[in-house]
Amino acid sequence: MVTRDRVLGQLDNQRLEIAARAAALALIYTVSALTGTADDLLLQLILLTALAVAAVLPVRSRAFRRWRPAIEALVAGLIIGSVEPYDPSLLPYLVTPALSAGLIGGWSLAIITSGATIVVLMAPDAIGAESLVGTDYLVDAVQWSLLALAVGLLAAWVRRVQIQVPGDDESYLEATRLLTQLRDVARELSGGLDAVSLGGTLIDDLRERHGISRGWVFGYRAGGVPIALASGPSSEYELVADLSPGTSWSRAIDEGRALAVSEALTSDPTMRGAIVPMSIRDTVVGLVAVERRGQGWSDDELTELSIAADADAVRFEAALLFDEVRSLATAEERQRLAREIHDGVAQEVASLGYLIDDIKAHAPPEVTPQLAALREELSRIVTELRFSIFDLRKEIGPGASLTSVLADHARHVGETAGIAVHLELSESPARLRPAVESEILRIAQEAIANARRHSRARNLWITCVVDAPEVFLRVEDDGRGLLPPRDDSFGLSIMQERADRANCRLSVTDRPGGGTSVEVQQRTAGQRRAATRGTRKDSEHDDSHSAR
Amino acid sequence: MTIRILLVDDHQLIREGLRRAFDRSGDFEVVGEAGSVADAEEALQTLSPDVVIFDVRLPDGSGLDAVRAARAAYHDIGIVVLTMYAGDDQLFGALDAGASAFVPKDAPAEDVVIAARHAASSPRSFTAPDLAEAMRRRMSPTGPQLSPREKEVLDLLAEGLGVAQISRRLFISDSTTKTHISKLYEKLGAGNRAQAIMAALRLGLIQAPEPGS
Repeated sequence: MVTRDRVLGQLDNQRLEIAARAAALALIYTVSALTGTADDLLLQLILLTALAVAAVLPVRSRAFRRWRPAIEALVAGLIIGSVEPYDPSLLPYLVTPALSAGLIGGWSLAIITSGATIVVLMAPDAIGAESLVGTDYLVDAVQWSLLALAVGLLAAWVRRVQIQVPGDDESYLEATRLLTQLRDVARELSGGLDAVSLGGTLIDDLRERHGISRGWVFGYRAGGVPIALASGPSSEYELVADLSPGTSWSRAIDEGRALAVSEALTSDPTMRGAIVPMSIRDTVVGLVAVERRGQGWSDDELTELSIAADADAVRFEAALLFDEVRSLATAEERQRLAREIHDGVAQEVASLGYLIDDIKAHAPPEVTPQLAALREELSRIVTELRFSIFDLRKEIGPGASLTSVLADHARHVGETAGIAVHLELSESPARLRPAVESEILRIAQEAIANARRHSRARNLWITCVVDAPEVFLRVEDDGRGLLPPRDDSFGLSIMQERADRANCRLSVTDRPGGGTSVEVQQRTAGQRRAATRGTRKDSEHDDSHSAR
Repeated sequence: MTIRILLVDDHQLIREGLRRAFDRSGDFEVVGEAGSVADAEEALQTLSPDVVIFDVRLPDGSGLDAVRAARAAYHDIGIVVLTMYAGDDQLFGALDAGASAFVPKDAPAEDVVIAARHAASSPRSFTAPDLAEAMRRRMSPTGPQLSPREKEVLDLLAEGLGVAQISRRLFISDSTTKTHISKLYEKLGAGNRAQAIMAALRLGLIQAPEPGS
């Protein structure tokens, strides 16, 4: 792709080449006229003029255009060398091929062209041409050759500057290149660009090489809530990332440097904590909290921690951005799907219902009960579609958190379906990754929908404990319990896929005392490895039941 | 006397179904159909129907906005709002916009006819299936009932006090305060302090602070 700016640059260069030759020829004509040698040089002047025209005529072949300055230099050298007796007034022309060479082919071509000039000019001297004996030919030739070289290199530098200044199109090209890279990475996922595993690796590294006992990694954007990505090794002590003004957290972010904390990070009194902002240049993109038993942190150690954290910052930020892009795309797709169902199939089914109403009004009384049953079934389908649209449109925004959206949803569904909802919620100030929040919400929605649709439940118990990056969800009902699996049931396998994506273990079981229990629990590191090897213990059990 | 009906829905099959329902009811006449807000505005002006049936989602704008405009322009017109969306927000949206009746699209066509009859006779009242339930939900008489102590703790939480400060203020132990707080979270369906305060504000359990105070 040739950009507009580059085309303009080439046009300017062509004008420059023509102007340079015109100036050189004008100089030569003037000098030879003034020195009165114009008549002796008439043939050479005509030849040089023809050469100059040939050198700037547009040509198709790129290769010829590229090497034309070198050929021009050779021919010019021959013409100038053929002057008898020796006359230096033609030598200025030699500068112009070098100029073109530098503009067209860069410094390498400029050197080659100047080299060709020198060789051609030296040749008569080397063979000891008689006409040159006693003249300044050698000195003049060397001087003008070096001048040609200098001009050629200058032109090459101009060319480089022209290419390096990117226009808008260049920025787009760069953006496209990055997007292509991103797509390739996305295809090879989920190993490389995963903020969670990057965070885990960072903690492992800090434990091994910097002697920390425990670490937490958060994604952070100015003014936002920290998103917990990784922590380890697990402990009973809870970390509270309190970013309100005046705390060590906010000071570490404001000052952009690692701080040893005076107050405790957790309620474990044996630990000495530090907060390490992870920054790209001056922008904080993540926060690392570390603790170690006993000894406090020296300034040198804090600097080392900062260096270790910053080393991962760019990849980390890219992973977070990628996560965000994916979430946005999913959310967008869900909204589109909601619109599609709303405007398409839902309206058509609803209008079918009206059609049945019409048929029923005119039908003989003996088929009325069947038509009434059919109408009831159709109404049920439309109701289902309305709930689907409702579910699809529900999103977790930056303001609302997982538990609040879940509570709203459960209350609404419970009330419209006449099911008593019992909520037990707990959520840490730090957030889960948006992708995980959304998967957990969708699993809860599916479980709640199953309770509403199929089980004739009277009570719904929902427990959701978010201690980011850990999460636990349980949805229980006192309905008819698990039914034998159906061929057309996607509900459970979709829930399983969602749980896998959120790195969680799903179990669907009979609730003691009747009903169904759906549980989602974060996998520990060991379980995660086992799961990727496909040796999950409960998978057989999961597949043997259907929640529908 | 027949009741003159204008149908506004961008789906032709829906309009056809409703038209047949009104035709067989005898005392109605469908005088016009529109598929967009713009067409509806024009038809309202030229046809001056007694009752207009509005879908809440139209291709060129919100049906509820159109309802609001129609109510402002024609004081005594009957307005029935039809919707495919679920949720109480839709019902109360229709009520606020000045509709006379609200019918979800999973209801039989007869319900639309009944709603239209109601809308024609008393356009400035409001009816909807499940209205009483929805009102009860909105008033939330079964909302959380806080004990006096919990109310005190909630007020102090809203002031921004920490556990230790609350304990000192109320002369109770930290663990008692924590128990009260977790009970509060449970009753309010909240996961943390910010959510608890938001929920309490929404339920009117605490007042928003005066600006500047």
